[in-house]
Parts: sequence; C-alpha cells; structure tokens
Amino acid sequence: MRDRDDTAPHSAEDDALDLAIQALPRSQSPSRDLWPQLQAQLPPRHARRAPWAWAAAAAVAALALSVWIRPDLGPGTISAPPLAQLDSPTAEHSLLNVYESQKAAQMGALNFSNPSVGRQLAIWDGAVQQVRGALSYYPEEPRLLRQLDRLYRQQLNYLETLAMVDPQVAAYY
Amino acid sequence: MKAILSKNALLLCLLLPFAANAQEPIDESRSVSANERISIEVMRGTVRIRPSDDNVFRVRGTIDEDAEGYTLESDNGFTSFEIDYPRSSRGRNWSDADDGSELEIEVPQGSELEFEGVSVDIDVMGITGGSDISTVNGDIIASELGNFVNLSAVNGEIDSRNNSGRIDISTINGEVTDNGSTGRIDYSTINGEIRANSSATEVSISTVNGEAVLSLAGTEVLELSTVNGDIDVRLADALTPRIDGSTVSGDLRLGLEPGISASFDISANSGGDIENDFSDDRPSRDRYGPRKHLNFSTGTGAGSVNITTVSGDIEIVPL
Amino acid sequence: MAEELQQLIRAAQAGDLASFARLHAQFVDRAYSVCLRLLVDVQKAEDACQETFIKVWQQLPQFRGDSAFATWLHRIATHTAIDLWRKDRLLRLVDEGEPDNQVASPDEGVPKDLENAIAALPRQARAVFVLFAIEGYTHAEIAALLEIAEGSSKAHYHRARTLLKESLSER
Repeated sequence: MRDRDDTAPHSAEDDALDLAIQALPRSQSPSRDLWPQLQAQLPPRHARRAPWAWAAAAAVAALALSVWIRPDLGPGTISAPPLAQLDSPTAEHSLLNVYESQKAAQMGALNFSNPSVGRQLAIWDGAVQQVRGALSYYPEEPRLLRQLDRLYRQQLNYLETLAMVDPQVAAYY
Repeated sequence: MKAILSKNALLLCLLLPFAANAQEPIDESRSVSANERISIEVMRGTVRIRPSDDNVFRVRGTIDEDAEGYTLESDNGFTSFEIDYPRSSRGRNWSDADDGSELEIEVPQGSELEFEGVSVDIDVMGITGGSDISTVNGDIIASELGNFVNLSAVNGEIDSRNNSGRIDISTINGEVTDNGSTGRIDYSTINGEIRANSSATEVSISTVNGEAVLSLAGTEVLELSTVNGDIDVRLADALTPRIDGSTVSGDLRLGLEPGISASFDISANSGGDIENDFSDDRPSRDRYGPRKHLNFSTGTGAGSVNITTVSGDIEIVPL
Repeated sequence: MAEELQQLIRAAQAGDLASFARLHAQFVDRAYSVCLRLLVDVQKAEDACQETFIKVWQQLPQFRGDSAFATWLHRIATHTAIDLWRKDRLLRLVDEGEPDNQVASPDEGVPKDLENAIAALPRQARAVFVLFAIEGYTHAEIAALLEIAEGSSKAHYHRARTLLKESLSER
C-alpha cells in the first residue's frame, strides 16, 4: 500500500486545513487547578519531604478522618480504624481519602441500584480492610500500598464500566 | 457443566438455519480490499463472521424486527455495516436477543475488524488483520484470530481458541476460556472464572473473585493478581521466568519446572501460609508482626518469583 | 532556563514536592491538551492528566535525561490518554449517533471550528488525526500505540482529513 501522505493531490481545501491545523493551540489549560488533588494522590517516596508537604499530608489525613467518622456513606463505606492508628498522616490515609471520594462521586453518578453491584463493592471493602489490617503492622510497606491502590483502581474501573454501559442493560445483571 | 451447556446452546443457535419470521432478510455484498478496515455494529442477535475466499464483504441473514433498516458503506478501504434503529429506541432494553438480527458475514481474511454489540452473541474466526470485538451481554467465540486481538464482554462468556498476537480478553462477570493462544495475552475478569491453556510468552491475569486455572508453556513473563479468587498455575518449559503475583485473601498455587533458576521472594503479611516444596528453606516469621517471609534462590537465580499476599496461602511446587 | 529546569527535575527526583509542583505548573497545559483532544471529555481529560503526573512522579527517579523532559512527559501523557481512550469503547455502544462533546477552544473562528470538527470525528480517526497531525507521531508509532496496522493508521488519517475538509467547508 502506498503512503498516501506524500502522494495525495493537494487541493485548496487541503491548504486551508493545513493552515487551520497549524493555528491550533498546542497547549490548553484545564478549567481548574489540578495540583491540589494531584498532590494528595501522589504516592510517597522514601526520600526527604519538604516540611510543608507534611502539613499538607496532615490536612489530607484530617479530611480522611472526617470521611471515616461519617456514619452514612452507603455500601462503599469503610469502618473507622482503631484510634491508635490515627496519630500520624500516612500514605495509606491519603490514598484512602482520595479514592473514597472518587468512588463516592462515581457511585453518585450511577443512576441505577443493583444488589449485585453492592455485593461486589462489599467484597472490595472487605479486601481493603484486610490490607489495612496488614498496614497497621507495616505502615508504608510498598507492596501493601500497591495492593490498596490496585483495589481502588479496580473498583473505579468497575464503576466506570458500569456507568458506560446503558443503565437498563446493566440492570439485568 | 453449566458452561458446557450454554456453549452448546450458543453453537446450536449459530448452526440453525435462519428462521423465517417478521425479521427482514438481507443479502448484500461489496468488493473490498484484502486488508479492508471493517466496522460492524449489531445491537442484538447472533452474528457469525468468517473469512471469505475472495475480497468481498458479504452479509446475509435477517435483521432485527425492531430495526428500521441498515447502513452499508464501503469506500476507500473502509467498510462499515450497521443495523439502524429509530431514534426513539435509544436507551432501550436490548436484552431480547431472540428478536435480534441473525447474520452471517464474510470478510477478507486480512481485514482489520471492529465489531460492537450489546446483546449479541458473536462467533468470529480466521481474521488475521486484527480484531476488536466487544459485546455487553452476549457471548464471544473467537478463534484463529491474529495481530491485535481485543475481546471484551461485560456479562458474556468469552471462548478464545488458537488466537495469536497481542491478545486482550476482558469481562466483568463472564467466564473466560482460552486454548492454544500464543504471543502476549492479558486476561481480566471481576467475577468470571478463567481457564486457560496458553503458550504465550507474556501472560497477565487479573481477577477479583473469579477462580483462575492456567496451564502455561514457555511463558517468560507472568503477572498474577487476585483479590479473593484462587489462582492455580502450572508453568512448564520456563527455566528463568519473571513472575509477579499479588493476592489479598485468594490462594495462589504455582507449579514450576524443577530445574528453574530464580530468586524467590514471597511474603504473607497477615495470616497467610507459605508452603515451599522446592527447597528446604522455610519461611521466617517477623518477631514483632504477623508477617511470614521466604527468600531463597535456585540455580543461577536468573529468573524471579515475587509474590505477596495478605491472608491467602501461597504454595510453590515443582511440576 | 534549561539549567533551572534541570534543577527542578533533580530536586523532584529527590522527592521535593515543591519542585514537582513547579514542574506540574510548567507542563500541565501541554499534557492536558493531548488528553483532551484524544478523550473529548473534560472530566476524562483531567483524570488522564492526573494519572500522567502520578506516573511521572513515580518514574521520575528513573528518568535519566536520555530524552528531553518535555518529550518524556508528553509520551507518558499520550500513553495514559490512549489507555483511557481504549476503555472508552463501551461508551459508544450506548451513545449511538450522538455527537461527541464539544470542546471549548480558547479562540473563536477557524481554530474553534476545527477543534469542534476534530472532536466530532469517529473515534479512531480522531485519535489517529490528533496523534499524527497535531502531536507529530509517525504512522508506525501510532499503529503501535493504538494497536492497529500501520496501513490503518494512514487510512484513518486520510478519512479524518476528508471528513474535516467537508466539515469546514460546510461552515
């Protein structure tokens, strides 16, 4: 097959199109500042942290706490950890906080209720609890944090797939 | 047993002559190129796609009784075929597959095929230019496909046979069966079981609750991930594989060549057991926590076996 | 300027969040742009953009400066957006015939028309067009990225051009 990029005849419309392409901006700004949310999602590096980063992490952890103690979060709720765990901000807290809010937003966007979805999410919740149990012994253990991260990514992907499929179709299952 | 029955039922559907009913017949063909890009959308029914002997796109059968017609366009190396529905049917329930289209489609073997449906059972075979097949509720039977092969369903079963190239198979609830695949393959399910016999050099498997049983040969890179589901893998003909595994409470059993050269790094963080039938090394237990850890090497240690679990049992055994 | 960038990269590699924040500020628009053009959805583009910078943060210690930082980051953004683009396939099953979201463009006139026409292209044609005509990837690279044959990439590109010319001449 010939490469028609080079051989196709060039019309006035082609010239106009090429000019228009060149005029397209190479950069576009997001409509909101993405940094604050990003910062909370960044996994820890085992390197020095700027002092203000600790303060930010503490703020995130405080937020996470407020999520934990709300009694009305529905099937995706995680139960409150023992108080002993809450004395310092950790990667686990930041991760939970960000993912739980994303998950709640995605669940809010789903306009159907289906018991099997609730059951499935409960399975992930149970797994999250297990990993958190292990993290209580080994805080910041990278493999456990990766597992936690994976569990939430799976849930978000799952909810995203459900949201993409027509609610009526999905409702049959 | 249930799976076998349903597969036979699907096969029966596909073999039955098309019933005469209110569905409109269709018999169309177009001359196309040997490597035509073909896109097909059929919302519900059953579709069988086979390679044609000549460079022709051909579609025969009956179309959905609720459809208002179809669109077949073929131009400049692109052919697209769609069943058209009245706009009022948007957001409708597509689950009555019996009323859907029943189509037999032929495309050139070297075509690159994209197929999309909702409640449609699709049986596709022998396309070597690449296949991207997705359905929501229907089943997929895909055999002898090559190049890039994407098979995705939400609730349907996927039966993959002798596919090659870079293969992606994903479902949420459906069962996945794969036999004879080569190349590089990713299996992904949430609930569905996975049963595979593969000679792919790179294999990745991800499940949440589903059980997975894999018999692999010659796989060099293997990634395993499960939450609750158990995974059982036999990996033959691989002496220096790179294996990464992660489970939460699911058990992982890994059968490996007795002559394997690899460094093993296995940890059970909270309650899981580690059983090692490869060497006399035994897992050590943390003094201040529940973790068990096993670290040893065989042969030159060229390969790697890294596995982590929270509370699942890990077992490594020689084949 | 280049020296300043190198310093930021080195500091971020060492884990300094403040430096990473400055890198983010400097490069976020370019990354967001490719995500938005491929995904045609502000929310998804933002998600892809966030994921991009998480990967950049994670992989930064391994960045050796073999390629320019901007190129390296942009490649990660493109890959991330394409991964999401691939997942988007199911959306089309239920979004039959609906035009894609209209992308907001900063300028009025032809660029805006073109931006909207690109957003309305069939998804494969759109992806190929964005990658080839705007992002400068070769057809061979696009074929690998989108998991299609190289010939397909060329064919999609020409189809996209034909559709765009039609679309612009109608306006």
